[in-house]
Amino acid sequence: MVRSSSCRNDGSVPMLLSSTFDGARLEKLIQVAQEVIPSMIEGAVTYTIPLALLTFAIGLVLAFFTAIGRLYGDRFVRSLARVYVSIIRGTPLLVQLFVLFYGLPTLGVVIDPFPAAVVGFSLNVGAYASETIRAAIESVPRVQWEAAYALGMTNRQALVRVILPQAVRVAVPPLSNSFIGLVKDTSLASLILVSELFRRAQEVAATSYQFLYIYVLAGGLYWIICFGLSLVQGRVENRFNRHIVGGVSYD
Amino acid sequence: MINVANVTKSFGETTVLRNIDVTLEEGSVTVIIGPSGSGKSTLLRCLNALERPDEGTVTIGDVSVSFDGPVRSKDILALRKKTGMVFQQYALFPHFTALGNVTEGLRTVKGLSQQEAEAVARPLLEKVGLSGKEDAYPAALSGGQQQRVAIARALAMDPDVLLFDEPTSALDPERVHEVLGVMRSLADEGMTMVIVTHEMTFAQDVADTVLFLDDGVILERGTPRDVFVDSTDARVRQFVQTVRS
Repeated sequence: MVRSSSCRNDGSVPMLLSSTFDGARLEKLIQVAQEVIPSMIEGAVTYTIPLALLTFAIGLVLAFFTAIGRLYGDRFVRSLARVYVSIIRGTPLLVQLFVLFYGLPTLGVVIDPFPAAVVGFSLNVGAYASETIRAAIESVPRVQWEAAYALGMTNRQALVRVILPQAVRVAVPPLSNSFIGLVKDTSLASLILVSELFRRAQEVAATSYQFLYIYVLAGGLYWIICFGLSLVQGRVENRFNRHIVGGVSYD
Repeated sequence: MINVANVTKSFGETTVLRNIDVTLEEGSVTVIIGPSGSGKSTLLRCLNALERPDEGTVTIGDVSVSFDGPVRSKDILALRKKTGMVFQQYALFPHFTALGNVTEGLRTVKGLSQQEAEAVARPLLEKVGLSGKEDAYPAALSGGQQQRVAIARALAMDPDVLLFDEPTSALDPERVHEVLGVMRSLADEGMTMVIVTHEMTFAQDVADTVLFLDDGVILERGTPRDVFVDSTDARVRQFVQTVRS
């Protein structure tokens, strides 16, 4: 209240904004917030976050095997991996989700919203992250393979014991980026009827008409989630870098 | 005994090794010299099949691998277990400590327990003058120290022969002696070694046999004196003079 009146006395504040913050409007906004914030948090906890975690886990497994297939598979496996990555990267995620959810029923394949989202996002993460993982594996110097082979290691032993631990360090920052991108992309699941964070916001906005306010609140909530994730990312990176950076003495 | 018979290797159009035949005695130190691009490193790397010869046979002790037809990976692994290699760029595993680098092959390839592997690795680190550095990661070690860990890592597998690919070329000059010192004492113990190097003084002091390679062919083979002093081959004499000056 105090704030709104001081705004009105301040000539620098645009009329539109100051008139938005009169007493009745503010009460209405608090009421809307009390409705939409718990609903969005519930949507985040029950759908957004589980969807992101689940699809990232599945996607990483898919990505790993796709990367290995592209690097070390025979001609057939290599082409299969290439076609998969090309299709997923070459078409919009939203189109992929619509094909899965609205398109497949035409062929008699009906998938519920959440499983459809899990499939769509996992395929998406799998394709993009496979490129990250492939690049990370290729970034390990060739002589590391040779050193492993010289000890008598098989391809698999060299990959698991020597190459992958070094590749992980390279892959963590871009994969963290992918994960944060994924968390935000899950808002697209609202369009195939998954009742996640953004769909909750849309539902309240549709009845209260507080579009700007509610969508800014929704954005804020995504930001809080992603900020938390970036803190986790920093810790993970430090963990994987500890021998490399920690080993160098700066004194 | 190491025997290389009729080994030929090309990279695309370029022939790097032409019908190499050479036998190296057990307990001997062989130094391979020659101008850059002469095939020295390729010959060395053919001994443990890091490069696969296009044809020919490599024999180390009781393992003989012919490259004239398809080669079974089992045979390649057997050949590699007979050899240890030290690389120009050290090639330590950066995610393992010095001790971890030495135990890694014992654990993964030989299947030893951590305790058994450490019982082998610790004395080897001490032997190369690095006791106290067991828990250091490669990034915290100097080039000379890293290369000595690499020697310990190769020794841990108890190979019949140690292969050195320009082991001192990447080192600061004042660090070279650390590594050469370790190699000298290995030679004194009767370790079979094949060394590609530009350290002519070292070659002269330590080598039993010097091979002079040029354009994929062994031009001269003999004692250091035969090659460095008494060679009648014009190209050998010229090379020796150039590296001496």
